[in-house]
Amino acid sequence: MAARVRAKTRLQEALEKDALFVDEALAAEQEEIEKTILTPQKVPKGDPLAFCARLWSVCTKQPFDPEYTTENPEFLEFLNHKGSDTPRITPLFDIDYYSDQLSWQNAPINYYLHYCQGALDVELQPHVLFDSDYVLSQSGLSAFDCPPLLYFLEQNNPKLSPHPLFEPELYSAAVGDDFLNGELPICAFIERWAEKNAPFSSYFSRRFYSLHEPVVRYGGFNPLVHFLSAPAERRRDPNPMFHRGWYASTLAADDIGLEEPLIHYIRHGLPKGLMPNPFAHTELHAASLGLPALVEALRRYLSFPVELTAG
Amino acid sequence: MENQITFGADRDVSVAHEDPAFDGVLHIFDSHWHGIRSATGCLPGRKLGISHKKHLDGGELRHIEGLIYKWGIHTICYQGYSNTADELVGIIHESLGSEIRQFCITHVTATQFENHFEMHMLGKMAARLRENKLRRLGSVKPGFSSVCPVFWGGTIVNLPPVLKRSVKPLRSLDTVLIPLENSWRKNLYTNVLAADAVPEVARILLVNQPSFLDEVSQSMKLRIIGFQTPSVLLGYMASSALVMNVTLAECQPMSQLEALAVGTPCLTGPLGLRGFSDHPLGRLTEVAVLDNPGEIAPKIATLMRLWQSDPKELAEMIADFKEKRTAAGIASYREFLDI
Repeated sequence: MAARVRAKTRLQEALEKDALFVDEALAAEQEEIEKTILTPQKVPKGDPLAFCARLWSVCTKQPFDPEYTTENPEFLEFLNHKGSDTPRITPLFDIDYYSDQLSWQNAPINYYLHYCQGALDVELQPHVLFDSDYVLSQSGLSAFDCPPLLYFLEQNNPKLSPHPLFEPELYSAAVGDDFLNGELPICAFIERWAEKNAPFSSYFSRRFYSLHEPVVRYGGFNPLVHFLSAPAERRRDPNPMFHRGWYASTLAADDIGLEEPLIHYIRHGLPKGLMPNPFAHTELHAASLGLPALVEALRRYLSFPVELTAG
Repeated sequence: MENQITFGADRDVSVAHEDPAFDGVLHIFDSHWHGIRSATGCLPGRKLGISHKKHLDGGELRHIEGLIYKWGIHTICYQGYSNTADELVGIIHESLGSEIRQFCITHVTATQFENHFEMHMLGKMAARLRENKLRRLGSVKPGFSSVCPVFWGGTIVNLPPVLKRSVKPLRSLDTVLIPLENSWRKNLYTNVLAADAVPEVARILLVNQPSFLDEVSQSMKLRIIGFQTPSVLLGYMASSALVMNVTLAECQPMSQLEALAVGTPCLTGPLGLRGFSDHPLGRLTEVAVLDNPGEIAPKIATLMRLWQSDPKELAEMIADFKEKRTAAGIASYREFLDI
């Protein structure tokens, strides 16, 4: 999320300097790619077109050699769709979410191809539940050599999480193999959330969150998507023991920036033994605990066993 | 700044009975009202201390809501009532709805209406009952529904504390402990004069000074130990032959139950608790005439002699009393809270 915000700011700065230039540059680049398509030839592996072809292939489960992308009529047809007409080939690419990050972009573009053109540079995110920094942190790589979403989908690893607030193993255990039917847990979560309403994070309580969010409670909204899509200042606490506002304005005030406080806490605060609310220090007898014991105590403190065990 | 709310503090859970049926019960008490806090500390269930001295702020309310959710609380029982508690009843009802069942228990007697605050609070409790925000009002004073008819007809029975470590003190069979405040209702002077009149009593330990008593009586037995923490006071109780709590108005004194927990009998006024006032130990320790040292002293002497003649019988009486009291206490809460 932080990377996305940074990227957007950078692009917005460029836009403010010369908006027309940005539009024309993107459109011109896509035109060049279209010329490539019209002239059958071998496409280099690191080319955005090859990335896009691999992405299309892994999503549609139609294997072909991306070096000969231009010989696949279905892929060519796919590329012809642009703007809001861009088809949805994976739940992890949300056209609306993606295009919102490009609100200044007017030129008609295929958003998948655009992602493959720019994702390595500007770190745009394909979905609100996809955090490329977080995926990278689990990958063992120092940097991606292809668009992060492509990396994630090609790994096809049901234990790889696309977001700090989604725990694939927890969700898989709750919904069962039959429900997943070979699908990645995150894809099933996005597509068919309402069928199971199952726990997906040790730190996000669906029921606590929905106490004050009637549209989640009664409207069948995916609570995690709802939470992350809401403006930061209007988000409700999703963990009964984590006080977002307090944490962001006290312990993490110096380095949190625009990052969601709960995610910042899970990734940075918890490992350091920071408190999730102003009462925890007393309730946990924190002063008497060493760091490893404190972190373990904090994990238990933040859990909500009633919900997690009830499924 | 020190937090105004305390959840699960050691002193509120370390002597509590355990009963899984109470896992979803949250007792909310006032941290400054020591007797009520002691009584609450013995109960099974979760414990939250609040303060009548300060309104709950947004962060505290948010935390209480989180605690209720995290621990799967379905029933809240207010132990004593204040404006802070009254606000909390309304806020919880508004934010969490009637799924959270709220009850309240008063720990006052009609005698204490001299303090008008108590009547204001009873009025607020009754109003919350009418609004269906409180489901039932209970009392630890037998027959309190004759004072306020909106109260539940049964009696809530306080439980003795559970001592997790066994206490085997070196008991001084000539020592009496009087842990009373020096107030009109607590009757400190009468208790001291009664103990002083018993030849078997060599030492009288006091938490509070019986000011100017030396102008009436020149006792050499008095020792002022001062205010003590609950655990230290338990130690004094354990090493004494008798605890005295003969007060002019009482519900169910925790001093009696704390003394019994460490195997020490406790003199009280008539408590009127069915099944206990007529228990062999109740007959030995309940005093009928409260303001006459001459009426109380024979009770003290009898108990001091029993320590000498048949300590086993006394210990068995205390153990039986505690067991019956625990069973009655749990049963009364289960019935009152419908769990």
